[in-house]
Amino acid sequence: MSSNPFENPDESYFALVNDEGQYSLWPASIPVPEGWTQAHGEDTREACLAHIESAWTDMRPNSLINASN
Amino acid sequence: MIPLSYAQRRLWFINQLEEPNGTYNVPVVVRFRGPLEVENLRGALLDVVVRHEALRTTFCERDGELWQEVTDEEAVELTFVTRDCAEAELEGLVDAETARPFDLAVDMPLRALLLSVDPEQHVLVVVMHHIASDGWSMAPLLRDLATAYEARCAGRAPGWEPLPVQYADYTLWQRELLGDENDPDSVLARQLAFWKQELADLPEELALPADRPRPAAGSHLGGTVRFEGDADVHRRLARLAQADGGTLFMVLQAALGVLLSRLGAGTDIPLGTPVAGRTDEALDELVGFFVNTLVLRTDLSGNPTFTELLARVRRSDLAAFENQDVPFEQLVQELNPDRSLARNPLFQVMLVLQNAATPRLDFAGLDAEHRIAASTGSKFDLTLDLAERQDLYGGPAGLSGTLQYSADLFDRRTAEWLAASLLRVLEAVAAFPDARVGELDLLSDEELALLEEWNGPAGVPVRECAHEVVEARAADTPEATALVFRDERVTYAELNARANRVARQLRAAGVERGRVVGVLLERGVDLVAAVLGVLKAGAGYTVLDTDFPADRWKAVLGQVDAEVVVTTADYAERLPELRAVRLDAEADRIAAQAPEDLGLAVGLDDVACVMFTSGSTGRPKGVVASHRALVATLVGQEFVGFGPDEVWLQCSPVSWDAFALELFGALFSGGTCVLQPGQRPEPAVIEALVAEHKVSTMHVSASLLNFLLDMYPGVFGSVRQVMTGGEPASMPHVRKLLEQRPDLRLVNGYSPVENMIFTMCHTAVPADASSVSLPVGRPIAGKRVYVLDNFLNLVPPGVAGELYMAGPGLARGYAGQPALTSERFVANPFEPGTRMYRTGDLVRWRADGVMEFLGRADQQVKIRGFRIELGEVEAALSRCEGVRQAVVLAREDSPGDKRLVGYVIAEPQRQSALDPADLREQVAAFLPEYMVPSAVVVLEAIPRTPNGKLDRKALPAPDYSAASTGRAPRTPQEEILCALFAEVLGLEKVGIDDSFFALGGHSLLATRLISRIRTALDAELGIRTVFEARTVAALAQRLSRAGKARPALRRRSRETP
Repeated sequence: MSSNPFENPDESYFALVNDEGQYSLWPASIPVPEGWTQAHGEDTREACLAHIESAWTDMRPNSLINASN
Repeated sequence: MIPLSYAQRRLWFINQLEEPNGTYNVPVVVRFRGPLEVENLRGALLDVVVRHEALRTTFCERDGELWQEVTDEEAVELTFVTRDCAEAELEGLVDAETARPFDLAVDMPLRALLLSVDPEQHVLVVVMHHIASDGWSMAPLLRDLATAYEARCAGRAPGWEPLPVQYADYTLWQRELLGDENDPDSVLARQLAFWKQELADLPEELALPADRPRPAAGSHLGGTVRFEGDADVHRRLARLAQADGGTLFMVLQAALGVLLSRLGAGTDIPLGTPVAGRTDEALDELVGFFVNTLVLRTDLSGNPTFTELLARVRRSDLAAFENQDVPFEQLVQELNPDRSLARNPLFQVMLVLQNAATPRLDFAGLDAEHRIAASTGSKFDLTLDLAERQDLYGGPAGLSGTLQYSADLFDRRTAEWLAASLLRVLEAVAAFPDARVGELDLLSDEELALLEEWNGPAGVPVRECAHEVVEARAADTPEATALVFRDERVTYAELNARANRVARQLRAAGVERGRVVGVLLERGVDLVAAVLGVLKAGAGYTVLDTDFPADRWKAVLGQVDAEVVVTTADYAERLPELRAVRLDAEADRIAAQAPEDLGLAVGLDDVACVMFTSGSTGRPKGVVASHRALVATLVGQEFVGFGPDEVWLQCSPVSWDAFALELFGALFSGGTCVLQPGQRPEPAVIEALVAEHKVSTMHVSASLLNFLLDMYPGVFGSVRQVMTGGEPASMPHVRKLLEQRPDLRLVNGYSPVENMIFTMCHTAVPADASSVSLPVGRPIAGKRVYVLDNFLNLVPPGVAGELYMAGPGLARGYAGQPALTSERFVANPFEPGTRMYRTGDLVRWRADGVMEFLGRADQQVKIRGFRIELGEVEAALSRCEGVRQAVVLAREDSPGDKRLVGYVIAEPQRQSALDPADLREQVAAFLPEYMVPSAVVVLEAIPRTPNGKLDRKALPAPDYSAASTGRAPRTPQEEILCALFAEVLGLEKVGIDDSFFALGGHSLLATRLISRIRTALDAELGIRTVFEARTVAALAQRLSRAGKARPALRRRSRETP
């Protein structure tokens, strides 16, 4: 395999988020899967990861956060 | 005498290099119905041979140069054999005649066999060597044969015009046209410059979805599958070609590129294609070998649309065709790719779109039918040969194709699948030319259904948290034995009560739902009570190994924001920053807590445990797993038998996920868990515990399994099921165990900790013994796996891809590392809104729905362009006498020089030391050369990481100078050989152990070497010998066995035309 689509520093990416508030890095060249929305990007890999690092502060899934409160 | 054309040189070389075979035979088969006049046919064929000099030319080699000799017209002896046979024998006889080799030094390159079924039914088989013929020669050959036959039947000589030129003229003309390579203005120099740039950094070997690894030397055995594309697709493809100013060939090339790329060959796809090479019309009527091979590079980088790809192909093809005069062999010499007997240089896949004229067969008074003989050989890994069918008006009526495959690499079934996949690509690009090539849907419905089926059964829905499952067992069977530790037996009721008391003490210390609590205790009943107590308190546990340094504990606890640790007084002193619940010092207070279940609200997605693994950045990665992940992996599963009768052994390090397997595998199902005293697995203790407590189920890492089988062969006495995993199991050991204990269930379990304990399991069967490594099997209930390509498409069975995992075992992520989590736990395109874990492991589905682990996707081992499965080399070293264990790595100790290095440890009973050179020789006896380690290092022990896995970084670099390149010759013969090596290679000095090829030798230089050896040492060697015996030392050995030199060839004069 030549290069994994998540590992290419020169490609552009999205930061995706799902209903559970979980984030996923996502290559911009591949269609966004159902059930996910763009939280950031299209942008560099680094910038997308930086967004996720600052936005995803509580890593518990939303359903668990709601049940715990 | 006349030198050879460039193309002839290469075929001559192959003819001498290989064992005699018919790979380069060109058969022409004509079936005659009617009163054939046999003598006239014989005479007519002789006329044809007289007319075309190429058909009466032999070859010789003198002083390292090659010459062709045209036999005089009068001296031609035509081989024309007649034979009666039955209709049913025809095919076999034609095939046998086609496969019979030529010796180009002696034989005329044309021979004929006439098979007579009855006086009115004849089959003529004319077999030529490719050195005298090519596809475009068929039409002139058959036309001339028909003309001569008609003339002979009429009692006259054929009335054809003499040929304007002969092949020998072409040879000299070609040299003149191309000019001198050293003259920068020559055609040759200019075109070579183009190709050097065009083919820079070409992949040495195309990765194809082969059924088998490539053998050291290709057999050229092969087969052919046929397929047909329909008229509609043909029409659309033709329109697509026209719309972009391209040709159908370009469309087909682009489509083949898409197919190979999507099947794992990367984005840089070199393909070979023949060009007629008859660039002057004087050559049109000639029989001879003019065809040249072009390397067309197909660039699929950046996921272009098919239309974009087609534009790229058109651009590069047009430039390539403008530079088509450089002979392929010249190009190979110039670019000097790593040469091998195993593969074609520069490209391994050939694409042909037939455009030669169809021969006309006007034989007087006969009905003649030209049959294309099926070739049984295969020159390349794959040859795709396509022809256009035409309707009555000359329009597209479909494509007819054959796919010739190398039987060394492919099964017929795989070739059929490749052909079917190509048709799907053609259909897809015809329908959606503007779709990106990564988006084209290539899976057939059948393949999709298979992948779905192999994903295994649905799991049992998880309804209880981990501690609740244990509480239920305690309620069902309170008096059953839950734990055994030293002399202590603890019932479920006792364990549950003890854990409830610890939980209350933890709540009193401020532990809340969702927090993570450290557990720092030596293995024992308290450790289990603490782990359960943490869960009952609503928190997740992370077990700290008491053997690890305190700094590691702190790093781990910091990572999960732990405030509380369950431990003992002495350990607590080493963690002053934390609130400690000390089970020894606070024993009285804990004993005073209520023993009933707490019944706290805890959700299935709450954290159950955090397991740490080393991170590439040096910061440990804490994998946060939920109750759901833990319970779903161990409840409702069948990868081993679970139940109250099972006695499990807990001996794996407590920081592994195997700890959870061994503990909760027993406790969730009402079984007994025997705890091994001590933090590390101890073979002698394990043996005693198994015997004493009738252990029935255990898990051992692959290396521990090997060790136990070697040193404690009786250890598995009462054991019914053994799970292994963590690293690929050693096949010799697996075989041994299966033979010794056919009743024992050996399960290979596989998963990164990110998907909890096991994702896939495979129960070993005797048939696995022939595999390179134990397969990882199929997903366990409820877990899902996807093998994906670089566009995140599912790849078909048999194709290597990267493994992604999903399902209830999936961890929540890495504690405190959101960015890292988002890189590895990514959106799952196959189930809306969910995630999948990207393993970085390279796997493929076998045709029977069992998955094989191939290695790391990012550490694929390639040496000189060859793909190598290190496990195979390790297995080979392990089979050597006196070797207990072997590890093989691809090291790059000096940049750009990647070499295989083997590390071995000796059998403990062995008296003498292992000899690395001897081991290399033993391995070389059954492995291809490129898989033999450059060096073998003998070690006392294999270095391991704290978790017991192989520590690759601690393996020492081998000392090559110790293995001595530059060893001096020992005999006069070796001295002469060293000098000859040096002379031919243009080097000052060569040692007797230096490989000819490692020093820059290649096949043509080998020819020269052989010639020099013949002169200097009066000895006869084949070129093949140099490939097999690459060093002076090895060659000297061969020489003592070799025959005397053949007599020098007689120089014969020939007029230069």
